[in-house]
Amino acid sequence: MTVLVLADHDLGTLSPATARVVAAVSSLGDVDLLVLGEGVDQIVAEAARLSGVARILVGQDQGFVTQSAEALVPVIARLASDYSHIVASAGAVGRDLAPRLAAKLDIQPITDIIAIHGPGRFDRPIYAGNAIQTVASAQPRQILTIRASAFSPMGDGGNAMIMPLPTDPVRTVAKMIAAHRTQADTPDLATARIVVGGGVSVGSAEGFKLVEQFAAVIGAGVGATRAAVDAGYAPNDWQVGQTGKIIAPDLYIAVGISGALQHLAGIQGAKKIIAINSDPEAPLVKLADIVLIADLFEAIPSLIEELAQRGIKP
Amino acid sequence: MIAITSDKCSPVYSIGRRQRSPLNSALRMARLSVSREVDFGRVTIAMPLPAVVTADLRLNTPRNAALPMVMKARQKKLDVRRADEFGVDLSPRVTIEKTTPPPARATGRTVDNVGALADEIAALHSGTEAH
Repeated sequence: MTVLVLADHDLGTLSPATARVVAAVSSLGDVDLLVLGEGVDQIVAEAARLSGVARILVGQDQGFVTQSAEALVPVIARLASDYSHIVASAGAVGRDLAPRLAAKLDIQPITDIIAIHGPGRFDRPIYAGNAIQTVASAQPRQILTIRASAFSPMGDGGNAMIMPLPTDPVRTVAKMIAAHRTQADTPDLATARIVVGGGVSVGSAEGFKLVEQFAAVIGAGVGATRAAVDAGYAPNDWQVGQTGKIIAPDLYIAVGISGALQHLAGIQGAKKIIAINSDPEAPLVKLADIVLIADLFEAIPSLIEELAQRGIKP
Repeated sequence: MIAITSDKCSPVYSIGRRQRSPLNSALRMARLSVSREVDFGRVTIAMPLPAVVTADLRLNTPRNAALPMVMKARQKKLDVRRADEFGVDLSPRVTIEKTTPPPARATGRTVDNVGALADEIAALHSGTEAH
């Protein structure tokens, strides 16, 4: 069996999710990695180092730059007959293209997989992570999206063969008019080892800066609840939860977050959870491994000081 | 199924709902311009109609139907057909073997002050860095 993995990339570099997806599916068979983009030399070089990758198929065209499903799916569909599994990360691109590819190939896709038991048996969360479903598929081939944060990354040490893919010029009906990139120098939320999350109780965008400062001290990614995002305290793509990003860091520190179900759905994969909250009855306080009952406006500045005394500073 | 019914009814646009792909839309002439969330921020995409879009629950505030409209809607005749009339096989391809609760988390503990929390974070911090 051979597995085709679509490489996730952004701004000319391979996204950390790809190494995790490769690790997740390497038990299923040989892995071919498909890189579709324009000016992807660095991405291909990074991908070729991944252990467990047999071949890297490279398709280059200006039309691939937006990573739209409309542009990518025809290429993947043409390659499909050679593969037992066609796999993407369950990020924005994978979520976009899996349904389209599935319809084209008339295959029921299995999405957001968190464990692989065999070639046709997978675990996936349902009901916002409140239950885990084990599903079985006997279809001739599988279309899968993988929740990258549920798997450890594949290490380096590979030496994949690089194969250019002949592609026709890409034409799409939908055109990208504008892209608004959130400026942030914090680690990528989906794969950060430590994440600090802020809720609406920071009171203002200014208050949220305190959360960001604290995150910078410990080198953490920054997350936010939907309420904090809706209030305009934090950008949309920082939202963690059922309708935002699903994270699984080693450590999640929730600052002033009560813990609505929709937020908890996004953080259940965290290995350790610390909650700083003034309300001892908050759901997230009950869920956390370590709790400090305190007012965040007092606790965070003194915590930053205390950490500096222990040699932890930005 | 949707593809076939769309063919028969030729709608201007169909709106479904997907939780994860927030999208705002504005109809401009015969083109649709939408804003959607992606991993790095937001993008604006334009396309000709007809188009299939999904909407995030933040797209708009729901409009409740007025009672007279509800009564009127109830009187409309529903055209109910069987899927196999359209030559569509709806039998599931994926079977659910079991549904289980997620692994339970260990019970937590409360620390007394900021200093104690700083100790905990410092210990975990060096642990995560060592990976």
